[in-house]
Parts: sequence; structure tokens; C-alpha cells
Amino acid sequence: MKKIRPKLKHFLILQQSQKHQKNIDYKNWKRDKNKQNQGLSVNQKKWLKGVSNSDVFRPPNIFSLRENAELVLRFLNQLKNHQNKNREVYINLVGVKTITNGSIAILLSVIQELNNKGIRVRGKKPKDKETKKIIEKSGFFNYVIGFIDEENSVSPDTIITKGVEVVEQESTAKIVLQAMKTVTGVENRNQPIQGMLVELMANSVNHAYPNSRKKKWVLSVNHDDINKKASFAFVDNGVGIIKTLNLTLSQKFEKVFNGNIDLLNTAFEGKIGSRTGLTYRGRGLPSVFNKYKQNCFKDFVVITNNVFIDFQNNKSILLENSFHGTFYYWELNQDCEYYGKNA
Amino acid sequence: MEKTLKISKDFSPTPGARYRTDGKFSGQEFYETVLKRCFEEILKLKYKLKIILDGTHGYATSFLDEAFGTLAKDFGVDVVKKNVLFISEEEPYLVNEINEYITNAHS
Repeated sequence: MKKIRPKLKHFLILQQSQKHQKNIDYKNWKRDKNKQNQGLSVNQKKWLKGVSNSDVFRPPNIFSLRENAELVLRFLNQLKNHQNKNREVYINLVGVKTITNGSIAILLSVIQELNNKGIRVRGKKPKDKETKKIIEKSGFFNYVIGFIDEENSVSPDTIITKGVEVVEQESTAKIVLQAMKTVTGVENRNQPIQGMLVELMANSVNHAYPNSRKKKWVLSVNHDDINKKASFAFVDNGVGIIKTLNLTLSQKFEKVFNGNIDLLNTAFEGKIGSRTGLTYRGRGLPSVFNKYKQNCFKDFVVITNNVFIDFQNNKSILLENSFHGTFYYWELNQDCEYYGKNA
Repeated sequence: MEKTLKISKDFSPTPGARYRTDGKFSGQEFYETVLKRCFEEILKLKYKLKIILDGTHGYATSFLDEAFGTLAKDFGVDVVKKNVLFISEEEPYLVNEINEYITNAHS
């Protein structure tokens, strides 16, 4: 029999003992962990295991851009700033009591942005039944993996999202027909709304992402059959209107405008050219604003960069938490012009 | 004599945005494949061109600006204004808008 050299013998004994110590450590760790998790359900244990490699984000309880813009934007910016590809993002919506189709659309657009960076996103639905119902019915789970209760599986609410140089006017035409059915009871066309959607998609594709091919927009439509109302939310995570205007207009025009609220209002009113003396071609925003003035839709809200404008309530706010992109919200109801004229 | 061009029937019921790169049925595509040829034809025959805007799902301003602005740039503002008649019962304000794009086409 071959004799083992003393040095090798010593090494093998040491290795054996280290292995043994590791086993003891693991058993102790497991025992402590079990003690910690005592009383937790199987699902809670699964959840704990899941979040251990995640950074957990909790949105404000009122997850509505119109009601709680600053806190919602702060939450979205925290999400957007997550850069570590090795750490998952875990969005815990459990405490959310109010949610709107606008905030669902903007959340989805941020999730898609994170996915584009290669970051995995998971989450937990709201505990509140009504809030859970809204998110399940919204169409959010057509893009994010998750179970939907059977009672919420059929809904006219829609989310569509596209990207990379494509304006999807055939899809939006169908969405507008559905929205008009909610408002009028009949699938009518609504040319001003369709024209506006094409404009917003084109703006998003052509201006919002000047140096990127990862162009994405999200459109969400919520149908309120009781009040005969359809609400639209359109969002892109591009550079935002203010930044786009600043890139177009040189610094010498900065003093022409009384801050960003004035700049944005001027762009919607179509007066950039007359105030700067430049030949300014931007007709998209003025055409959208004209449709609002002609009462083609109501409750028009725009959030872009550090500006929040609620046109309906004549409210403009300079935000502390900027939004890097553009968010539009508007409603279509029975008081709006043009519906039904084209039956 | 006049020739009638109905955009919803002769091009698409869902017109798109400005450029071909934006997606299907853009203003550029409409101008290059339908409008330019039609306009050349009516000039040759000394007809007028009647363009019916009704029947589509709706127009983006970028579509109208690209199609009719380019027509005016290529053939001249006066020639276009003299030979084209726009009809819209569903959205009558579009006629003024398009005339504005034609007038400003040179700038």
C-alpha cells in the first residue's frame, strides 16, 4: 500500500475539518433562518426568498399623477434610476389604495425601460380589491406576467405599446371606435381623437428619443360604462417636450420665455415662431391644443420635464420631481363635440 | 371638368403621420404614390382636382402638411390653389388648415 506523505495527510485532514465546519455553519444558519421565518405562510416564505436578490420599491398609496404628481414622479424616478443589472426590481403595490389608468401606463413604460436595460422586474399586486381590479382589468398583464382573477379577465380597457419608428394608426382607430361605443353606445369614428393619437405617436417616434433606437410609447384607455366616459393616457419615456424645445431653440431665446411653464404654454398655443421670430414648424402640439379648445375632449393634463399643466382647471405647477418624458391625459364624454357626427 | 380623389377610398381609411419611416400610409407615401400623379394628370388634361377628405378615421396635421405642403413646393402655391378644391363635411376646419399649409409651403 502506498504511504501518504505527511504534508498531504495534513492537508487532507485540514480540508476535511473545513468541510465539516462549513456544514455546521450552514446548519446553524438554516436553523436561525427557520426560527426567523416561524409563523410565516408558504407564500410569505416564497416572497422573502424572491426579494432577497431584489431592490424593493413601494409606490405612494395614492398612485395617481393628477392627485399626487410629486410623490408618484419621485417613485418613478427612483425606479428609472435603478442601474444594477444584477439586482432585480421588486415593485410592491400592496399598500396602493388609488390607481388610475394614467399611472398604470406610466408604470408600464418605466418597466419596459428597465427591461430594455436588461433588468428583471417583478412585483406584488395591491391588497385593496377595487385597486387590484383596476390594474387587472387595465390590460397591464398583457405585458407583465401575472395572474388575473377570472372576474377581471374580460374588459374593454386596453393598453397598447409600440416602438422603433412605427406609428400604429390602425390599432388606435379600433381603440377610438371602442371608446366611442362607451360614450355613445355606437362604434363611431372620432377623427379629432384619431388625428391627435397619430400626432402623439409621431412626436414620440420623431422627437422624444433623439439618440436612441429604443423608442417606446404606451397608450392606455379606460372605459367607464356607468358615466359613459373613456379616459386616455399616452406616455413616452423620451427626453420630454421642454428639453426637445431647448434642443431646437438656441440659448439666446431663453430670456424670451418666462420659465418652462410659459415655454410649454407657448408651444401649445403655436406661438413659438411669433415670439422668437424663428420659422418654427412645430404644428403637432398646437393642433392638439386646438382640438381641446374646440371641446373635442376634456380634462386635458400634460406632464413633461418639470412642468405639470392641468388645462381644464387652469393649473400649472413647476415640479420638484421632473419626469423625463411626456405624459398626456384626456377624457372623452357625452359633452364633447364631434362624437356621433360621423355615424 | 374635374377629377375626384377620395383619400379614404383611393389611399387609406387610416392615414398615418409625415414620413414613410413613421409607418404605413404616411403623407409622404400619399404624395409620392397618389397625389403627385393625380395632379400631373389633371394639369395635362386641364381639369380641376376635387379632393374629398371625409370617410377616414382622422388626419394628423403632419400627414396633411407633408402631402399638400410638398405639392405646393413642387408645383407652386398659386397653381395648387387654382386647381385643387377640398371638400370636408365631417371636419370643415380642415380645409382652412390645408390652405394654410399650402400658403406657407415655400417657407
